[in-house]
Amino acid sequence: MLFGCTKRNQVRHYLEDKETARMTDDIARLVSLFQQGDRQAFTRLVKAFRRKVYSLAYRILLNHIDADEVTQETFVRIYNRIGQLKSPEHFESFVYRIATNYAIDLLRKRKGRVVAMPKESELPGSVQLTLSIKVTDPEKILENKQLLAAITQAAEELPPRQRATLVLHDIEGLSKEEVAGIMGCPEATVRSNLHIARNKLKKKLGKLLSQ
Amino acid sequence: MIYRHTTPLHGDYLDGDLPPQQRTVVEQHLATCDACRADLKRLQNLTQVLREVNVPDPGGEYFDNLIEIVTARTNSVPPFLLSSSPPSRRPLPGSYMLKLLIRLAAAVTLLFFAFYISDYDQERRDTQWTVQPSENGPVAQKDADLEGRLINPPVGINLVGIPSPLDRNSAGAVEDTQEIK
Repeated sequence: MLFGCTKRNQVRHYLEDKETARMTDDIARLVSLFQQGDRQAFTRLVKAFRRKVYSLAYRILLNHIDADEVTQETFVRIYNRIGQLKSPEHFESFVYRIATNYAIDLLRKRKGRVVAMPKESELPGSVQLTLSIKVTDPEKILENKQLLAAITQAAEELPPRQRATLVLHDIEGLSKEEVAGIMGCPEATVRSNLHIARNKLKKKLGKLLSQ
Repeated sequence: MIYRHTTPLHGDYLDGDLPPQQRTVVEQHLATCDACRADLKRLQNLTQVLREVNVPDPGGEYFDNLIEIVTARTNSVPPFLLSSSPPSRRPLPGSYMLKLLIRLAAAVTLLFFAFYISDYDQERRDTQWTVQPSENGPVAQKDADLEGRLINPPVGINLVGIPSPLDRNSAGAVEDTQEIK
């Protein structure tokens, strides 16, 4: 099932995103209110960032269960640590930093052991990775499926920090400077991690990318 | 013509992070090198494909439930609001104060001895010693301290085993003159 394939869902997401965009201007004000103890402001912040956090966590961890854990824990940590945020304008970086660090920690924990994941059909909304390119040709659909499987497999083999850097820069579209701030490392490290991660993926997906 | 492959620069080239001079070098090389052009194309495709991978929809109610779960988990007062009031301090008990005083006294005494010993040692090292002839043989003598003040020679300090240059010369000179005669 494609992401938001039903029209009702598409309209709902569009409206929610529009609301989120409108709220983005007010983020700094909401953060200030929350820092003064307004709980309603916190709920509105959760509403504004829930999809972003879930999406980031999913892309790093590649499964719903862990992404859900990271999303919940991120908001709980924001609630507990909002006092540490000096300038409300940097709230988005603050959220990204908490989510990324927790996702990396979780990834490291999971690396050593096999986790029994429930079947996809048991998950809410039949979770499944998809490509956004609309294709009708059956052969193309098969190619897309192969590409997706290969991407997932190749991404799973990347070390946590390289994977997080790739997601933040190449998928979330953050600059290298922003990624460095979130990951707490120099820009040169981001550049190097990105270069290595891309090269690994290029090697793994070699033939599929040449097409 | 540039023969060196520009593969390591392709990532920064696509991100627009290369300085103009390097950008020109890459572009000149790409115009002539098929291998580098293919590599750049693969990298472009990879970035595009990564951006097109969608995150699955976890279901309509998931995000609504998330707010409820987070609200339930953060039901208490935020810690930063609690920490604004300074923590109350209990008065220190008497025995604790006594122990603290004893430790302080011990530390001060130790420091005093350490300074005293180091000062004494330094004074000894700073004094310059020379060997001077005397009636009773060679004598070690303090010439002067570091500041150049003369110090009286100690009496009766003989350095055993060190021949006096005066004695040797006087004895030798007598013997030599006798032999010449």
